[in-house]
Amino acid sequence: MLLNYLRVALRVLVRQRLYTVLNGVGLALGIATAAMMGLFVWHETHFDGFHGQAGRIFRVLQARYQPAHAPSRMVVTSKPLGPTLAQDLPEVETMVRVARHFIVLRHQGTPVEDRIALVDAPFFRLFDFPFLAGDPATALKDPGTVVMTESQARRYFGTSDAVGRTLMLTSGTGLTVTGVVRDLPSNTLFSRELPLTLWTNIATKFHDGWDPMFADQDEKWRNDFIHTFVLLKPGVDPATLAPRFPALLAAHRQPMRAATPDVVETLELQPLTAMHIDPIEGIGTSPATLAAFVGVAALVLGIAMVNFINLSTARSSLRAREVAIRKTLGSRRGQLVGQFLLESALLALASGLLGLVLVELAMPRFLGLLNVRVDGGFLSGGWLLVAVLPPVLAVGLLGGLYPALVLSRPRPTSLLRGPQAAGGGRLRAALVMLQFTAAIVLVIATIVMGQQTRYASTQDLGFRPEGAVVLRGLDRPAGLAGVQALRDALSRIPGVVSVGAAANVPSDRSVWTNNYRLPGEADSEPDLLFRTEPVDVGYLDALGVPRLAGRLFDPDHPADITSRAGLRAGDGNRVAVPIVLSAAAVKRLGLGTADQAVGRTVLYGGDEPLTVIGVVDDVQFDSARSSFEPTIYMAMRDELSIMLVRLAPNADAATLAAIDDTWRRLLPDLPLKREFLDDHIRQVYEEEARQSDLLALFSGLAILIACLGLFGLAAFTAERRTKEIGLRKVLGATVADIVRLLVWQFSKPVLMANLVAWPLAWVVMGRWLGGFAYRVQLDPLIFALAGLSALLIAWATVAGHAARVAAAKPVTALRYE
Amino acid sequence: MLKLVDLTKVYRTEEVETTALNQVNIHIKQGEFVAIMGPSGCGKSSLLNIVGMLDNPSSGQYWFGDEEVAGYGERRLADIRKKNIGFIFQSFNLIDELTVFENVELALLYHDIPSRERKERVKEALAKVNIAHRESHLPQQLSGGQQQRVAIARAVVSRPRMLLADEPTGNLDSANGEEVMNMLTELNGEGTTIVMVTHSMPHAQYARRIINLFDGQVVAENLRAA
Repeated sequence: MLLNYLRVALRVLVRQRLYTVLNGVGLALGIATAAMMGLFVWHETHFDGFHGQAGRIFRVLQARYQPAHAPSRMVVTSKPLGPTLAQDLPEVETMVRVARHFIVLRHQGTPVEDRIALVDAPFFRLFDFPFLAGDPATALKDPGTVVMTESQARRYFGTSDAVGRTLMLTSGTGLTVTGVVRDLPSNTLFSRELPLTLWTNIATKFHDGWDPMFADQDEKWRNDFIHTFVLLKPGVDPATLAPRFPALLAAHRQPMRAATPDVVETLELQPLTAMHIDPIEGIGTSPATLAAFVGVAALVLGIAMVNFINLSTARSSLRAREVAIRKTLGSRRGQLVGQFLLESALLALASGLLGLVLVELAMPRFLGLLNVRVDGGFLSGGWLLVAVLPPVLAVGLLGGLYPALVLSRPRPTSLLRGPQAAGGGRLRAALVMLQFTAAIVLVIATIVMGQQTRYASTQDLGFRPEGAVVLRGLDRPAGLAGVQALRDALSRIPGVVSVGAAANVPSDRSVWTNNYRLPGEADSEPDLLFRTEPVDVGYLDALGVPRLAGRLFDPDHPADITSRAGLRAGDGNRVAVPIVLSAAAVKRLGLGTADQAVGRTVLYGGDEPLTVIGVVDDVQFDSARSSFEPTIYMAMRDELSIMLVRLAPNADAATLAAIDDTWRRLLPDLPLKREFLDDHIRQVYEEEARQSDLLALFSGLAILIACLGLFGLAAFTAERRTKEIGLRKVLGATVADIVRLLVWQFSKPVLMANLVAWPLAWVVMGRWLGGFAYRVQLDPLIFALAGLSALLIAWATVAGHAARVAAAKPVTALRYE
Repeated sequence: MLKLVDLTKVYRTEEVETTALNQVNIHIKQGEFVAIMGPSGCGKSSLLNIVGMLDNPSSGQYWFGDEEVAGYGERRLADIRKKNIGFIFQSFNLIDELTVFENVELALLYHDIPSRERKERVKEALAKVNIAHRESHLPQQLSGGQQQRVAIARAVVSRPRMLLADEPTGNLDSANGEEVMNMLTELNGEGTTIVMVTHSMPHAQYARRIINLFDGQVVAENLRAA
């Protein structure tokens, strides 16, 4: 019997080729899309679970709650926090701190920069990264050791068998390799948020100028720069520790001067496995992003499933006669249900296989669009099967269930009376409407996202991003010592207009904020949190920020230059530090016009006086998502990291070569890292551009799949109504009348879909745009356009069939059946 | 073999109520060949559907052997049907996706018969209706007469006690019609009860008894001399 079912199923599939292909391809596309997205979501939600003690490892976050301010959480802590927690809290079994430092070493003759993690010795006791050589328990016991990934070992030593070899830094320090670990999997924090490939003991000395600075942090409770992880003892509930944190912090950290008393500073323990999907400071994959992925995948798969069900049921209604014959011959209802389910499952399975092939082909491109790395293991057969099988089974079941249940119900006599008018027409129309609703929403979303991305990238940033070059890597003793010489030398190059150093350039995602207030304000007034940008003379000019009042930092005013240390010292000599304000800062402080602001005093951190020497226009340091932040510029020599070089319009390759030569000549031990400012800014919008590309891809797919379904249904309807059409023609209908009749039948659900899709898209996209400080307006024209194009596509899909049937001689139509 | 007592069938739609069979009493004995005649709409097909257990009567009794089946549900009817009754339709009703052989075999698939025996019986049935040479063809590759022969083979392959034929010659030319009637007669001669609905007087003459229906009632019964 099973064989008979299979035989019939296969022959039906072959005989109804068009439907088989439409159905199969549509479903395969839907399944492939859902599987790829599903794999990605699965990957993103399964970070770091593979460590044996994952359930007991937590990252220590610093949290700050202040009335009228959004609560802030930071992933970095001060250096002494970890040891204090281990000492004061018996529930803590051990702690590991991770600080990162850039080392410079010579690789194939040129200085290269690499990132090394300074960690406490038990790092590899907490985190299970398999060692290819060396002992995880002792590898990082001593300073001067290094553990590296096998790729790094091959890069520096040409072999992964590197234990015992020495990694020589340009500072003259050598690190002895004591372990080689397998390259880290893609689903760990240490591959994505905090990428690590080299580890050394936290007490290692590099002799590159960083050591005293780092050692100096041992007692500093207010310098937050290090990641702290704790391993709790088995059975400890992290929630029981929470009430003790504020007091623990208060005991060690001196309160911030003039901070309002209702600020609560505390710690939070973030489970290791939750870190990736609980992004702090925007790093990681947010639940909203994952939800969007799941949503889009569900939409596309939903459209494909509706297709499958629609086409299967429509086609199977033509098989009423076969059902009747089988019943007449004694088939039970259960047997018929089984037969239809089998057929449907067979096609679904074939589509699933095709879907798998599509996944294999498209997954690398898909991940490329997302800009993420996923281990090959996640793409292997087993995982794919897990991702693909459920939708396949669900679709197979649903596609077969309707015909199975509906067709097998009636008495054979009613079926034998002749081909039935295919039932469920209204249901099918409703399903088509749903499909087009989803497709129209996706199209509108795509257009709006595209508009916003374009708008954001052309937004006035407050400076001139084009024609400027950024040189990075000055933030080490040799670099800081050479800043002035470098600036002077670069200024002399023909084709260079202006040069200036700073801590960051816009879009570096730097977040240094401080509390400021005006003198004489009551203590009850909350401080104002402003962005602080450390710069050097010449930088604001080189950036191209318009000056609104006063003057900028000037080499002829040596008193303009300060340092973070000097600012913090509060040594009581009360020499006001000169600052430059942004227009937004002037407004927020309530200083009146730009000219009125010049000469006024602002207090830093409560009582350190600063004098406004000038005002500049606002600069977008972040992205269009945020508004212009009030910013205070200070000339701080010890905070510099980049050199910005403004080029003349006639600058050419020779100018760039001269810039490179100058760096190499003056800073021979520092790697040259040069980029164009506008390229760098573009990267900020890359994610949005990527998302918008992805969405365009998926809305295209959604429409394609919906049209495949519509095409099939149109063909089916045209065929089913052949006799009716013949009669209409006999009675005088023209070809145009018939085409209109059929096209109108399919226009109705698409028109209805617009009515549902428009308000839905309006709400969803309104909410998405709400996340941008500078955004496009939702344009009703776009909605109308999306709806109209859906209708046109539907017409184009249907019209062919309609015309073919309508043009046939009526006698052919009447002879049908 | 079967007895219909005061059998009535009423079709109801929202607006009209049509009485297709009105107090019909018929008794058919094992081995009889009965033809049912009457104008269109007189209730012939309704009668055949009820006799074939494809439909239930609205009231009255239907004795099949010594079982009163009028009130049986679809599941029990299906069971009795597949053991006892074969069907032949005017429009052949073959499954387009199955070959001649498979169409005939289908009737046995619901009978739990071992594969080898099944194959033998199908071959035997096909040989009997003279269509064995076309066993691997699909229905649409056959002429109408050939299709009806396949349908007869399918009806008899399960060796039913009774064969119901609904206008078996209605779609055939006279030569093919004659051939089908000869086959039915032959089957009847082997002991199969045959109930046939027909419009054709010449073909009705093959039956031993002719029952005339009009407006859902039996108006005449003619016994033909053997």
